[in-house]
Amino acid sequence: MGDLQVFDLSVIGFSHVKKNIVCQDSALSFCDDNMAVAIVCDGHGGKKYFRSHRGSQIAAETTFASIRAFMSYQDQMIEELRADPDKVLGQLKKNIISNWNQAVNQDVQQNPFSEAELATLSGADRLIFEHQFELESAYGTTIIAFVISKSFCFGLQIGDGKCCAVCEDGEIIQPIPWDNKCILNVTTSICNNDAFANFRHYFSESLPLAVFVGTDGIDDSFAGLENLYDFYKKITLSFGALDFDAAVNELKEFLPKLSEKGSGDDVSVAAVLNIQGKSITENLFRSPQSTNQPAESDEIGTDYSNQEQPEADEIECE
Amino acid sequence: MGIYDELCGGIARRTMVLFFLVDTSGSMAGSKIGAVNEAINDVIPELRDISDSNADAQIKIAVLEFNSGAQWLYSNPIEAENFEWDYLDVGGVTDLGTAFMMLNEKLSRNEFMSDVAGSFAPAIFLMSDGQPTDHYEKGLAKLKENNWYKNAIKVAVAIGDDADQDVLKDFTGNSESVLTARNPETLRKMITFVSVTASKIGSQSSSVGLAGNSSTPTKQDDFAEQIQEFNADLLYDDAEIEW
Repeated sequence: MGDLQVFDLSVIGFSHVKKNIVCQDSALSFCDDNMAVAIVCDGHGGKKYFRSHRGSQIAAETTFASIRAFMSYQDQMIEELRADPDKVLGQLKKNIISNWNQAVNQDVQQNPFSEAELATLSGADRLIFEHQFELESAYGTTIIAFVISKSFCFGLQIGDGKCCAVCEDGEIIQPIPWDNKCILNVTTSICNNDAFANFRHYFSESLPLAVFVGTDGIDDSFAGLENLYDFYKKITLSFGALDFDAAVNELKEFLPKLSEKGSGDDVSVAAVLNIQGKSITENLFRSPQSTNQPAESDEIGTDYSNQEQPEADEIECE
Repeated sequence: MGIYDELCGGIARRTMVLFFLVDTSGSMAGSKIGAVNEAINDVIPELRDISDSNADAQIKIAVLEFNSGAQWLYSNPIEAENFEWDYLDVGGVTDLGTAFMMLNEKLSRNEFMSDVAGSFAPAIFLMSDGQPTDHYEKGLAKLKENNWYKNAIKVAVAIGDDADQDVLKDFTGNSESVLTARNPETLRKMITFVSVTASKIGSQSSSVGLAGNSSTPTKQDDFAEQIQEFNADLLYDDAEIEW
């Protein structure tokens, strides 16, 4: 996988700095001879999710560990993956959920909930955590992961945030199906009992030019989907034009400004770039195919714009 | 100039609209409307602070008064930073159904929820002291089909014991989110608490779980729980009816 490049950036939100709250996002990227991986996780924050910064770290680590173990068998399972990606990736999802729950429980054993952590909770919530009925919810987080190997790629997602892929013809798509249960500012989560049912995936043997996974702090900073796609287009052009480290640094400098002017939330983005040796210029994105409009399978949410015509346009997931 | 600078025109902040639906029928005359005017006017600076410090969403305010008919105080939701409370007068009957119909019209991306960066689910705060004098059921039925309404934080304050509690419960969807104010001081406390709490909860991103589909609570659940705790604290103060 010598041609692939990866990066991950995670920046604390402008509002979180003002409120003295830790960054609840985590991002991770990895590349070796067998695969390239990009992962972002967004801890929910809020009183009930008081360890979600740890939850997102654990999610990034356990997701990567599960993917790495899974990919070590890629030669043996490639035919089955081609034949039935739902089943094979379903096993990977179960493995991620299981490992995350196990790691979270271990974290609580090693670091029991403190009085200071429980002090701000309401009576009912406090009882739940004191008796460790739903201790995982303290660590609640979303996950988006994308993997590119030599001959196939796949993506996994639970909760909000977006995965955007730049195709060879410059078209930008969202390959992982959207979950309409992620509406307004409600998201599904790995801490939910029905996490497996809400874990979505994508599989293809066609490799994209670039794939970006971003938390909702990125999505929510833009006025519309077209502006979000412009952002990912700019990143792709930047890496096409600049030295890799210089491009990473330029993006790293921009993300705090994005949070300040936009969502105020933590902003994280990770990517796998497959652009080395290819001509990445504005012309790529001027092709007739690059409409920037999501295809039917890329619809990103339930419409609330017009009660009479509910399919008219999209709504962002806050 | 950096490569990302030209994106700045497409960057925007989300909004959360706090709706005040205020009964200004004749029976609200005197200390009732006085307490409402005073309390909302006094809570505005606090809402400005929340909007400024809680950058998950900018808070905007919309006010609908209803008596013999209904009318919006402003043609669009106003940023908390720029909002000035216009003291309300009273007169007429209680056309709550008309208010529900007008609210439904504005709960649309083509109307009050049109901000380019998207809107969080709104918070809707209804205050009334009496019985609806029109056929409110039709308006409420229409409202219940509205997805913004379904996802909104909804709360109602019954001002005095003559208010129709059943109608208010029907509006909020549960009895926990209906409070009863039996004197001006309690009403002021309720308006302050509800406005601030609904704004704080409503403007935060990423609550987890789905109504009816998860063990984890929605924002409405979170809000109802806080209302219950607040109401329990108020019980001792609220024994006397002083309207």
